[in-house]
Amino acid sequence: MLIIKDLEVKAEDKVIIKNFNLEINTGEIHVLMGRNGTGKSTICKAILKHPDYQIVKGSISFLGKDLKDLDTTMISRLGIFLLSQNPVEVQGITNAEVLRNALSEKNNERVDIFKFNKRLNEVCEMINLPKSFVHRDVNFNMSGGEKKKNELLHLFMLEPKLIILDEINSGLDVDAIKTVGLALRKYYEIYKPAILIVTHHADILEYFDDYKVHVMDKGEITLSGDKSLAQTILTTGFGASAVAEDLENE
Amino acid sequence: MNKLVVVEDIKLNDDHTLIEFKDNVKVDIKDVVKLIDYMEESKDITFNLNNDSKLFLERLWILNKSANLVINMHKNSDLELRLVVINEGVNTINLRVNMLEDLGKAKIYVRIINKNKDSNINFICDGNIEAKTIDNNLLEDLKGLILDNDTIKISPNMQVATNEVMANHLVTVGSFNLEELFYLESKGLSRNRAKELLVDSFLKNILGEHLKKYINGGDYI
Ligand SMILES: Nc1ncnc2c1ncn2[C@@H]1O[C@H](COP(=O)(O)OP(=O)(O)OP(=O)(O)O)[C@@H](O)[C@H]1O
Ligand SMILES: [Mg+2]
Repeated sequence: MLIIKDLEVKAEDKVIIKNFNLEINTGEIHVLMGRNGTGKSTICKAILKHPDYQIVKGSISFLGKDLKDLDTTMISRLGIFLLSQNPVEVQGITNAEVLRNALSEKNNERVDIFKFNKRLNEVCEMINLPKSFVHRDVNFNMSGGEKKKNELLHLFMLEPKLIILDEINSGLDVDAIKTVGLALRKYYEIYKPAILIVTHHADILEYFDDYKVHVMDKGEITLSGDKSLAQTILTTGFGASAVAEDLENE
Repeated sequence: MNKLVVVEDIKLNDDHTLIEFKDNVKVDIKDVVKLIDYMEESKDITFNLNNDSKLFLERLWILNKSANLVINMHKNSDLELRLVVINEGVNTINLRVNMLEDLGKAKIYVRIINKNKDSNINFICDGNIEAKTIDNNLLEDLKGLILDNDTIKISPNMQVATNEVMANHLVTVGSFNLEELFYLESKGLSRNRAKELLVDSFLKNILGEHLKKYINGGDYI
């Protein structure tokens, strides 16, 4: 579904991602881990062609389409959704406006307001977000945790095929992690999307039975493994030797 | 802010909010006055705020030639000006706020766009606080949004002849915020629609319900 080959990404003439290879199939969950500043958020944003990043080498394809010639709008409409580490605040534009416009432009038809509102209410209930958020300005004056939930509202409304979660768990309290984890699990069971999870913690992973794990260092994936690798890292840290030893012992 | 005073030389509409000014008019404010005004022509106007009076002026101004707006503030007067300017052509607005006595309070909010890329506006905002006055308070929040390589110049000038004053200004002129554009596009909005919504929010930000309905960001993208 998503194939990233030999990717090199630059920002301000500095190479941030290099030799990056990753393949994610429908229904697969992949977890990306790594020290602060290794390029996890960069790869997430580069997939959607964030203007700060230039892809200087390699390729990204999604559903068999090369993303080279597509812009952010078209990539989103193909079904890729990014839940950012720091969701952008847009003052003066409400969630409902963004979602209504996104859906009507994508489907090339007027949104059925009755169904739209009903779905918004359902989602708010599911993720325990006050319904008043629907008419609030996008992420504006929201707390860190509220922003993450607010972005989830967008996710469930837009029904993506590939979900990129960049530290969804940072900022969420224990109860919110549970609500969000269960909601994502439910979405996974119904839609069977591919999911890429960037995380420094195990909490959100508990809601998924199986996943692959990749460790990034200095812009490259240096180690990949099954879910036990996440456990190893979370107990012993990223020290390369520690991880390697553990693998040898297996 | 609930008493509306009808002033001579101003024509009120049926709902007593939208008004029409004559050119070169001098308006004397003596009480609490709230004026909400949609102006399609450029006219020179001077407001005199007498002692203890208050003017709330909210205007959507479709500017087609240069114009002057002068506000003279006397003792303990209070001004709140909310001005959205949509400029067509090469024009200058000269806004002059004269704080002539003590205890004046002025809050000025301005949002400017050009109607097309050949338009060019110079907005000069002169705040003039007289010597020997005390406890005047002047806030300016002036923003221009460049849509398409057009030119917006905002020059805030404060002439403050006393230390007994609180004066603040915030001035920004810039193009679309790239993070906001990326965010909206990453949700599947087209670039044009994203810009329309951003223009809409930029202009409506300082307006109340009466004037918001006249604004459609799509007209300028
Ligand atoms: N727009 C940019 N311009 C210049 N440098 C950038 C830009 N974005 C990211 N970087 C740099 O690239 C590196 C990777 O940043 P990135 O945000 O991808 O790290 P990360 O792995 O997500 O870290 P964290 O775990 O702290 O979120 C950092 O050194 C960062 O300073
Ligand atoms: Mg990050």
